[in-house]
Amino acid sequence: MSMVWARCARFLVMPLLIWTIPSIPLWPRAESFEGKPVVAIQFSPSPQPLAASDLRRAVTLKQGTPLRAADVRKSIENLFASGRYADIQVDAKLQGAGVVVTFITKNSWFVGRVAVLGKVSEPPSRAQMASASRLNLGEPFHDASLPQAQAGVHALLVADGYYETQIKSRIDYDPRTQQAHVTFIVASGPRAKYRTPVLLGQLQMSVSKILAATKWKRRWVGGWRPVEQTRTLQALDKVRKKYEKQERLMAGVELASMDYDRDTQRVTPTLHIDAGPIVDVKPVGAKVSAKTMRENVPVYEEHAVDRDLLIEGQRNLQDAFQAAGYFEAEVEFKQQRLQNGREEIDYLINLGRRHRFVSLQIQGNHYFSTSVMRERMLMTPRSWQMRHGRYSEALRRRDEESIAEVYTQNGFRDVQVTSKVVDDYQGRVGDLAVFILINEGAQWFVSKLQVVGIQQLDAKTILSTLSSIEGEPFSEFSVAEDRDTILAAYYTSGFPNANFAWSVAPGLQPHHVELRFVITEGTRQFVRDVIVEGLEHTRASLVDRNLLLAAGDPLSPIRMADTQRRLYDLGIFSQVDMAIQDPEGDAQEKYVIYDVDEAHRWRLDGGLGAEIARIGASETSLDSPAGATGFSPRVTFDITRLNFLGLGHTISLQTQVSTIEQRALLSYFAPRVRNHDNLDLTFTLLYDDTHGVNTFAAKREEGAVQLAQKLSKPSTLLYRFSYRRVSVSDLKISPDLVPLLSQPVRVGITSVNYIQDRRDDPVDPHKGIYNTVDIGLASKIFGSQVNFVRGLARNATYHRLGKKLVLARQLTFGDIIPYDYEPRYSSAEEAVPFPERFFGGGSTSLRAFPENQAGPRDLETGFPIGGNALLFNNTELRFPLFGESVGGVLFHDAGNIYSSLDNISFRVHQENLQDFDYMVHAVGFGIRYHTPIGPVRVDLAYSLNAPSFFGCSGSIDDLVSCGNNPALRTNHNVGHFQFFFSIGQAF
Amino acid sequence: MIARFVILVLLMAASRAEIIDRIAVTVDNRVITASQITLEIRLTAFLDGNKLDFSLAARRNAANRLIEQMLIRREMEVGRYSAPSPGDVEPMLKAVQEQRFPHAGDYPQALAQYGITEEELKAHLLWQLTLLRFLDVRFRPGVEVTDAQIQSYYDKNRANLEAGAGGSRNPTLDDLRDQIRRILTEEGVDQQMDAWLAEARKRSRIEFHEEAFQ
Repeated sequence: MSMVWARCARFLVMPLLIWTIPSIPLWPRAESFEGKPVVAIQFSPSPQPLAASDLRRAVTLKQGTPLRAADVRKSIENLFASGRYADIQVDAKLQGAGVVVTFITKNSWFVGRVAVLGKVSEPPSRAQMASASRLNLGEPFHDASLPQAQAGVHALLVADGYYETQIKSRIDYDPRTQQAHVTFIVASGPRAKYRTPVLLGQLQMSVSKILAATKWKRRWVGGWRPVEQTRTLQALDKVRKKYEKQERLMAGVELASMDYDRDTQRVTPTLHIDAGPIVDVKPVGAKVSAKTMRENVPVYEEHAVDRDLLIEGQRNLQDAFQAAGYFEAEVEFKQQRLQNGREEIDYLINLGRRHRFVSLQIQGNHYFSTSVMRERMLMTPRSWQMRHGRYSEALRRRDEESIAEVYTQNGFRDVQVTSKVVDDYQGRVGDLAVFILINEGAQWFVSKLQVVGIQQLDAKTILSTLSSIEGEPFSEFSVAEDRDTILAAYYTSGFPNANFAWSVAPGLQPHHVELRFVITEGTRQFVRDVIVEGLEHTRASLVDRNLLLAAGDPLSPIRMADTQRRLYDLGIFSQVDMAIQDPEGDAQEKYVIYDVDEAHRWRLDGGLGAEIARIGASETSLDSPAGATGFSPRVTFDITRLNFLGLGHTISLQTQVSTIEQRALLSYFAPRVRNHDNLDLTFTLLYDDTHGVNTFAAKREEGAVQLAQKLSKPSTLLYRFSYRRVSVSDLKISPDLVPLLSQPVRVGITSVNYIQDRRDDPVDPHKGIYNTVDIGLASKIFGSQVNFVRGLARNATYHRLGKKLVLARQLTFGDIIPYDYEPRYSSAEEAVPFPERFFGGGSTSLRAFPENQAGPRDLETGFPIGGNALLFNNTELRFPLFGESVGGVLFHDAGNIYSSLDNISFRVHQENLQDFDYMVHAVGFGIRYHTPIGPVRVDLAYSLNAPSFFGCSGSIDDLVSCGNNPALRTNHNVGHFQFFFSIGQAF
Repeated sequence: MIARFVILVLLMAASRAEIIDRIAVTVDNRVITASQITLEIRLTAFLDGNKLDFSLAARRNAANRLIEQMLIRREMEVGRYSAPSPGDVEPMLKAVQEQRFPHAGDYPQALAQYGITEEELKAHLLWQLTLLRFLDVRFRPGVEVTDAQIQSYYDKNRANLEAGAGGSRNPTLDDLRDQIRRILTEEGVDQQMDAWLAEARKRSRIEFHEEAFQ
């Protein structure tokens, strides 16, 4: 046996050496393959992460060509640059006279979904924790990324008081998409509480005051609050503000450490405080309020005193004085440090004479009108709003530049804008006039435009969007616009590296140029696939239907963003993150990733409220047929189920109970019906028991289905079918008098509503148009007990008058035409049941009346009974009152609710106490306070010709017998003055 | 029997795949391959007239030089620095040939001995030229040499400077001012370059694939 080993040993050494060779980098051996023909190119593993087209592009080695080390190297570089590989090794093996080359690859990973599990009370939220990991969707993921990410989450939790937090992490790899999904499992432990902080440094303030400012200790109930990052930072700010109140503007308050005591679970913050000197900023030479000083001298805002800030304050004060008419105002400052720890900053002000900026004249402008110039200028001659006008040297310079800019942008390359200021204008002392002198110079034009390099996009379409075309004015501004247009077109079509260069040469004619645009398209990128992560309850088909990108499409960031918006618009996702996987990689085909967080599917809302309005003194009150101020408490409770069955549909139940209304509304909302973006379907069931109109209480049970069709951005059509049963109760006029009107009635009505909204701002419009037309048909065909046609149209327009004023007007017209009604009704008017009639009056229709008090009234009791026609005309002049936030309104409302179309009249006098078919006019004044949710509105109206009428007073029995007992009937009238308080413009 | 066994072993060895190249270092999304490191060692050894050294340390040094090269190349691409043309290399190549290989035939023989081609050598020289130009454009304008620095250098290195001045006896500061300014400028450029490289390394994700260095 030993002999055999001895004989074979010398042969066994050889293969052993040969087998170990590859592990020693004897690179010269590679030369033995150099120049041999490549007979095959293989990849290991066989399924490669790059798309076939990208693979072909990256590997420069070609089968049948000689093997070159440079090609191998280039192939490795290209493959790695694609971003899809973590490691690449190239093997070669002789096969016959040729060589087989094998690329042995290891895939790289990219950040996929980052989730946080575990019970942690907010703050921080799960989204904040995921964000703190700094793992960005789609970016390369390395093993080293995880500890850093975990440290980030840990730091956030500690900052929010979770000092004993334990974090574990899990990575789920998806080889198909090369995504690494990271899950952090957090055991937060208890949240620590603050304890008495350690205060170091020059405090110059009592510890108790500093402690109170931090608000770390509860004021009334005692005890320390839990640690939260926001609370810690706010405390520093509050302490700083406390010092600021003592004029210590340079006070520094820094958090040195937060020391946690595990036994007590308390944190001791250590603050380093440097109170700094008392800084006394005061005006000298003019009376300036402390508020004005604070607004203009930025040392207060910046918590620092340095020369730059003081100079800025000097400039601001000068501008403020000049804007107030002291155009020659001079401001300087003097800073001195006093010995008692104080620092004085004196602003030395020499106001000079007060002026009035009375005239602004623009001369030499031929190409642009004066109004076009004025729109761009900030200087404003005096007006009733600005008694001294707005002028300063800085504004004048800025306006000169603005004018020059608008000329330059339109081809006037040699424009010169100067100005002349004339004091004591026309002999009036203190009056100032400014003359803007424009020397336009010659306008330059484009005589020829040559665009080269557009190969993969439609050149015609792009060229049609350019400004710098033949015959158009030439300016660098237009070229910049064209560059943006061209690059945007490329960008949206999947060319992220498109480039634009341009050159200009003199044209053949004077003041003409020849332009040349050179476009370098770069490589086009495409969508390899769209990956959607995070779906738990939502059906994938719902999301798929809303994706605007598919495999093979150009990689368009615009379409990506549109898809994100569509997913948000479904209303079922609380967050939709999107990313291109490995955006920096060279691969031509990219994965697009959407990572969604589903919103909570159940939502409960409750509320308490009250209504104070002219809604009737009380339910049983009979002595105010014209309405009186009433109080109605209200409880609301809503429950909503989002994303029903994972379809993106919504079911909601809204309930409301108050002393004047009990209401329940069950609705089912299905957006984007049959994948049509512009179609939304809604089913509703309504129960409403209301006492909103003084005359009666109505109970309404209604089922409706509505299809909303968005025709265009401003136009929408609503197709609706409603079936309702309305019964009247608590009739405050005698049922004997109106037996047919007081019966329960079923109405089936089909209606079409067209809405056209071209307003600039629906909440507070300044220009535009708003039209609605609603036509409905109630017919026995639809199960209705009454037949009528109902039409209601509204036209509102908004016009700017100058820069500040807005003229708004609205005309509303409606008519109800009963037909084929039963002979028991004595008139067409009576054939329409109470609740189907028009009621009007109030803050949004006709301010001559309290809510729903316009129109015909019961002749016996005086309560409003509604009408079959309406006509309202509202006109408002809206203007600013104080600054940007407070505005005023002068308004005129005219119109009424009429008994029928035939009785519509423009007559202004009430003929007798039974006549309500005349036009009531009201004028008034309102104040608007602008808020983000719309203007808060107060309107005071004076009705010029308010109606008078007979009405009853007394008990319900008295009311019923009122008609037979004239003694109970007294003369009433709707008050001349009406007062309204609400949110939003009247129209 | 033995002959058959030997033939079999040789056949097995012949059909065994060999690594011809692999990733050695990654710098963000770019790579340095093992073959590039080998070539760098060969070219450097050729120009320095040293023996070929493929030791681990030598390969790591070469890798580090290539990393710096890559960072500079990237900076030049981003900053759109102008690069010398290939023709600019000819005088350098000629100087190398004249100084190192005065006898005809020595030069091609040396190229073969070091396993490099003339094209590879030219590319290497071109890179050196590019680097010099980059230093001039990127760092030299930022180096300011003050009179105080010149004075300080003169005070500290007076003896050396006087020795270096050769014929001139007891040269004054004014005599040496330009020379000192050049020295200090070069030092300044080097310092700035080193600082910039350190910062660029920090900003980049550099990963050594250890398998390539075993």
